[in-house]
Amino acid sequence: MRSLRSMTSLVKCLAIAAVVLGSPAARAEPDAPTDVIATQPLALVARGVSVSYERPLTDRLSAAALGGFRAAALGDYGSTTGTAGAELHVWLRRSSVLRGPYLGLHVSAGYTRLTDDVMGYAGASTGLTQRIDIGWRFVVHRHLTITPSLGLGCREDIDMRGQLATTTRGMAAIGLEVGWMR
Amino acid sequence: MQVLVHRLCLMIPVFALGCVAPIEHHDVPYDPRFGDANKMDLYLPADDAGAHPTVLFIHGGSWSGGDKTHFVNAGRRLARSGFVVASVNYRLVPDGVFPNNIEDCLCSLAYLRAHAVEYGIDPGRIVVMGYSAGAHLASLVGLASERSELASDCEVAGGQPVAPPAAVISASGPQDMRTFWRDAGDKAGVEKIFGGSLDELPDAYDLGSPRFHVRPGAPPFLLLADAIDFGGIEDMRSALADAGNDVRRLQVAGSLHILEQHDDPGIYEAGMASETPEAWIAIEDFLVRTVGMAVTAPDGGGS
Repeated sequence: MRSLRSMTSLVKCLAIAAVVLGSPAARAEPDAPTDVIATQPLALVARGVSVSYERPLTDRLSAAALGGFRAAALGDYGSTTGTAGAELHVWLRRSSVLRGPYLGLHVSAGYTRLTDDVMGYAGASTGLTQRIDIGWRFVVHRHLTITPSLGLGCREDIDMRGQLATTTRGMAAIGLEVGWMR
Repeated sequence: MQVLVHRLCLMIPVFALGCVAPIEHHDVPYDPRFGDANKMDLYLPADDAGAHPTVLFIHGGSWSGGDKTHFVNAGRRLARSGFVVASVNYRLVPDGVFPNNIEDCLCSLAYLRAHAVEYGIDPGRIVVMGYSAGAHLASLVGLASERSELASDCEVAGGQPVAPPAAVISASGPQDMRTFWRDAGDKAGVEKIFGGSLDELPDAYDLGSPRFHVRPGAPPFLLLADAIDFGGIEDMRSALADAGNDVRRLQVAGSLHILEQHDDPGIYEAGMASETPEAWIAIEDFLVRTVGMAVTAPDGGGS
C-alpha cells in the first residue's frame, strides 16, 4: 500500500513533467514569453538548491517541472535529500501567461537519507507534498522574474525502514522564487 | 484554518487513510493538587503486545506557555508505531518557578512507572523527549532526577528521587542556564524561570542547568539543534561524550525551532522547516538503538 501510494504520487509528478517538457509552447503572440527558469534562493539557507523550468500550455495555463537537492544535517550526522515535482499554474489575468497573479497546484516527492558518522546508515524517509498555492510573478526588465507565493496543503512522511507509522499533516509554504524569462 | 487543512487533506486521493487509531485518554491527572497544570494525555497502541516502550513528551513554550496538545500529531504517530506516549502539562511561571516545573516532570515519570501495568508500559524503556523549554526539562530529568533537591512530594513520588529514564531526546532547548541568561535578549524572561537573576541565585541556575549534572553513566542522549545553536547544546554534547556517554547531536541547516508542531513553512523540501525529515529519521534510529521498537508500524494513517 505504501509503495502504491508513493508510486501514485510519483506518476502524477512525472505526468505533469512530461507535459511540461514534451508540449509545444502555447501559440506565441509577438513578445509572448516562451519559458521561465527559476530557483528558490531561500533553499541555500538549508544548504540546498532548487530549480524549476516552466512553459505555457495555453494563454492561461502553464506547467513547471521542479528539482531540488539539499544536504542539511550537521553535527554527528550527514544527510542528502533529492526532490522532484511539478506545478500547474492558472494565470488569473486574461492573456497574461507566466506573469501576474496565479493559482497553482503543486505535487512533489522528496527522498531523505540520513547517516550517522559512527554507525553509518541511520534511515530514510520519503515525503509526499500536495499543495494549492497562490502567487504573483513580477517581471523586471522583461526577463528577471520575482515570484512570492503562499501555499496550503498536505505532507505525508513515509518511513522507509517501516518502523515509524506513516503520518499525514497539514502544511503551509512560503515561496520566493527568482528566475529568468525568455 | 486547521479544519480547512484537514478537509484539503481528505480531498487528495493519495492521502487515503487507513490506520489503526491509538487509544487516547485525555486530561489524566498525575498530581491532582495542581488541577489542569498537572494533567497528561495518553496515546496507547491499539494492540495487546504487553509492555511497550514509552515516550514522555514535555512541551515547550518558554516555561510560561504551551500545552500538552502540541504533540498530538507526533503522539499519535508514535502510538501507531507501538509506543505508549504521554504528553504532559506542568506548572508554568509564575506557579512553575524552578524547581516546581522539573518536580512536575519527575512526578509524571513516577506516575507512568506506578501505572505501568494499567497502560502497558515497560518501566525500563521510558524515553523522555522535549522541545524548547521542554527540552531543557527533559535533559534535567535525564541527568538530575536523583538529586534530592528536585524530588517531588507528589503522591506517586513520595518525596523520593526518581530513577532516570532509559534515554533522552532534547530538541532545541538550553542546556546551560548561565550561558542562556548571559546571551538572552530578554533577561527578565529568563529570570522569571528562577525567580531572580544569575547574580542573585547562582546556585539555582547551576541546579537548573543540565550541563552541570553531566556524569559518567548518564542515559543515552539525542540532542537536536536549530540552524542557530543556542543555550550550549554543542557544549552539552562535548561534555556528555567526554564523560563516556552515548550522545548524538543533529543540527539541521535552515531549520527553525526543531520539532515545533505549529508551523512548517517547507519549501520544495529544500527550504526552512521546523519538523524536518532529518530529525524524525534520527529520532527513529535513536529509539531503535536505545529502547527498541515494539512492533513494525502499520501502513498508512493520518494524524
